[in-house]
Amino acid sequence: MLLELERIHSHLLWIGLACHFIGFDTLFMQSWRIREPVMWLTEYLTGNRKTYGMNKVGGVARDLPSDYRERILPVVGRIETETLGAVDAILGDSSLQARLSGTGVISYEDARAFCVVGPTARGSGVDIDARRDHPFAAYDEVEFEVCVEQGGDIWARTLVRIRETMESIKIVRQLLDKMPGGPVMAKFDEIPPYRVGVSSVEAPRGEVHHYAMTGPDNRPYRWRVRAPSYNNLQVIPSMLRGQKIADAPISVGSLDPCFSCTERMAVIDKDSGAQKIYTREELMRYSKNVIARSGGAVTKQSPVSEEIASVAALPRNDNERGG
Amino acid sequence: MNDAFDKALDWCFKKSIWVYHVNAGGCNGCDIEILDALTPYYDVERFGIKLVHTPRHADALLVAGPVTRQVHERLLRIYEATPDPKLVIAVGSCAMGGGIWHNSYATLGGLGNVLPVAVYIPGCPPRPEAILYGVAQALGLVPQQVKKQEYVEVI
Amino acid sequence: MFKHTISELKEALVCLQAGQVTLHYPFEPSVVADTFRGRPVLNTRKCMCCGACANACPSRLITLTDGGGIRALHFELGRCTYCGNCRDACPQEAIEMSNQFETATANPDDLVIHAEFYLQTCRECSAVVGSQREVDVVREKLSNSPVRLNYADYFDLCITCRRKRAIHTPSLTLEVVP
Repeated sequence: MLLELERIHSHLLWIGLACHFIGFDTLFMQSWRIREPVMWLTEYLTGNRKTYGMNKVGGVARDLPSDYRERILPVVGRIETETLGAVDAILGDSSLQARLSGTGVISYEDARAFCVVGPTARGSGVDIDARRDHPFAAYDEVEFEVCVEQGGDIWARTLVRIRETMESIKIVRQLLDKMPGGPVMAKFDEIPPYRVGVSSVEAPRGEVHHYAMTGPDNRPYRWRVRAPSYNNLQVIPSMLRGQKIADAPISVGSLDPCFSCTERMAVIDKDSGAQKIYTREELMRYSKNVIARSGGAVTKQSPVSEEIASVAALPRNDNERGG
Repeated sequence: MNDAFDKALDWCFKKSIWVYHVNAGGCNGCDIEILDALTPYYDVERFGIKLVHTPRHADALLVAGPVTRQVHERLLRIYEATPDPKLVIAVGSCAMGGGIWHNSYATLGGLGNVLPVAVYIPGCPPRPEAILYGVAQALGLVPQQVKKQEYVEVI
Repeated sequence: MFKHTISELKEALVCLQAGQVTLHYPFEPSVVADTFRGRPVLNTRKCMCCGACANACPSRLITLTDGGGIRALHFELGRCTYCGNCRDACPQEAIEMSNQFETATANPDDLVIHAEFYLQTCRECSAVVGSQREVDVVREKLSNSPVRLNYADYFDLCITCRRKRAIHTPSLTLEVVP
């Protein structure tokens, strides 16, 4: 449920930012205004606005307050009406549509080739959603629709996000009806060291994978996150090809990139296993060379058998802080 | 003459500061909260605090994140690009002391090790109100509320 | 064209409906929820300095140092992520998350909690047993429980000396009183 609340506020945040990129600051302010009650709600439910600190090994850290239902429903209802109002207003805006449709097109083939995830993929007609494909938590017990649009342009991605916000509200309502009682923590023995766990969660921006290795001393030993922005950013060169420079900010912005999620990069040679962390100059030179060689596309066509992987990536803020 | 100049400078500084927001390897939580302070419910612009897009226009730097090795060099360049007098404000627990990354090989363990910091705003992430309070405190408009808690057992 | 105008009017309506929403924060205090996790505060009267919080803290900001007959509990709250694990771990409920969020400071030292407690050392080998309060709590709990020890001096011995003693004196056993 918290994930869905997060999805609501993240999508509203994105709509705001996207409008900010194209100079439509009115909606930027309005969508952030609509979003703010979600933050207050999560602060009430969990104790903090963003780092909920709820997930723990064996369950959740604390139970919801007793009047959570009465708190959540009005907020969700209000968000629904306000979002519908705002969306109703912008859907007819022909200047906005003219600006967004036809720009930043990712074709179905490109989306498959670059393995984009989340709303970016669903905007290009790729029907993937970790919530439905690998149901985790309680997602197999609720009904929801995976929103897919065929356009592939920014307008399609906007529509996907708007529809998903509505779906999230639906899911929150269903979950509130079905919320079971009972203990919040399962009993477990000492966590054995050096065991590996991998999980995949549909975050607002797409699938996020967490890999964790338990260590001695009740602490994680290795932890690596593959955030969705990491996949999505790879598609930028093909998306921007042949576009006007003025369209670049909104095109990049339409992927909802979280640059914090993709910060460090290392190049690992598949054959020898050698690892090297590139400096900025080297990365610049490398990217220039590759672009010159392949006429704008990235590493796909490059003859070097290297695989880019980010090591020691920074955490996203939503999961596993408490673990 | 010099005094008068300093006074004038103080006066200018107090009225309205422009801040530049630097993400020094944070997780985006603090960044969202900084941006949140701009939005209708908190609206810092009514106090003349404005987010600017280049350090050359800025009076204060809001730095979030534990200062990773990659960003260190860029952070110093941003600091040098900011005109004097300047304030550096560390936002979030990571910027304050490294957060949960304090002993990681990839970070420098907090902003205090890198730049002279005027005010630290702890929180993970701090509420927009807390950020507002911290900036106001850096300007000397509001008093500091926390102090060290010490206790020695006596029998 | 007509549609566009209507849409713009609707946009204006959205803004007008919202009205003025800005909170008068600095002039009116901001109300936080009761469940808000603000700055942790240590209740030194309840604390027995056992170190459960130090074990639970994800950012390792709580340290225990022994020395000179004193055990020092040190919270370096600058790194605190306000997760509340220390509060959940505390057996004495001595840590509480306050509502305070205006914790900006010019000096990270202001966010330090430092508490010193007397240390209980072993009667025989002078190794550390625990803090005196910890031993007191154990003694009190055991005196109220059905499990009785028939050797009262058990408490101020370190674990090695207890083992030695238990091996050498077979009569030293736990006796459960029904």
